[in-house]
Amino acid sequence: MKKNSPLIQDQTTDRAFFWIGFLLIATSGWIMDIFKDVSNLFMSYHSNKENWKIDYDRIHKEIEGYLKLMLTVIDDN
Amino acid sequence: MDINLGEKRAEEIISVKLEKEIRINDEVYDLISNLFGEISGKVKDVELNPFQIVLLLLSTRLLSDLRSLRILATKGYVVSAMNIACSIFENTLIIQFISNNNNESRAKKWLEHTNEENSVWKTGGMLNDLKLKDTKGVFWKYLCMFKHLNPKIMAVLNITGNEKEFTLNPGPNYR
Repeated sequence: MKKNSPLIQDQTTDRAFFWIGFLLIATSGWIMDIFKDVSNLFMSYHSNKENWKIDYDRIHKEIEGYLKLMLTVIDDN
Repeated sequence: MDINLGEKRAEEIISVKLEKEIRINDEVYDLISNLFGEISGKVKDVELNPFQIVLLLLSTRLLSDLRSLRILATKGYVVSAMNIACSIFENTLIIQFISNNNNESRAKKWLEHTNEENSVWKTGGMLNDLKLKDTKGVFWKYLCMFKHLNPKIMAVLNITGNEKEFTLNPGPNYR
């Protein structure tokens, strides 16, 4: 490879952990965003709509908090 | 180190360091799969509109991909997990595109698609239509660079070192 090849990157511990965490949270967030809009199509079949809403809101809020934090890290880099 | 031991070690370290992220990912899987568990057995095909049918089909794949990503990511296969993330992104975008304005004709078009050469819609076009190109579209572009082996980004997390010495790391990334 050429000197200073862009194919050679410094690897830091934090980079791998950051991306693993980001992928776990971001994909969860994309799916939750979709179900925020479409879950009502299936709610008539659900035996416990109240629990669904409570769980959904709690998890969604937690994901939003994480994503805001992670996007700050991406912007800083 | 033996690859199985390497993956086990990666999983041990990642499961401690990213405990909360893994828990949230698991909770999303459980929440959505429980919803479909509730539907299963209670619904007949004839009761569903085209969009509901599309949603059930694409959501099944979504859940499978979410779990696959979790397995790959927690064993330290970051780049491979990005491929799955790209698929999840495109899947959620199709659902969003079809559900936009409750567009039943788009759902029918998706269900009736038989062309093996092309997708029903191009991802870039859907991002434009939903006005997401400059927001969520930025993530898609980045994930595609990994998925389609873009030379600029190929080595991230899999080659370490400097201009004199480098090491290839095809196994888990967790160090």
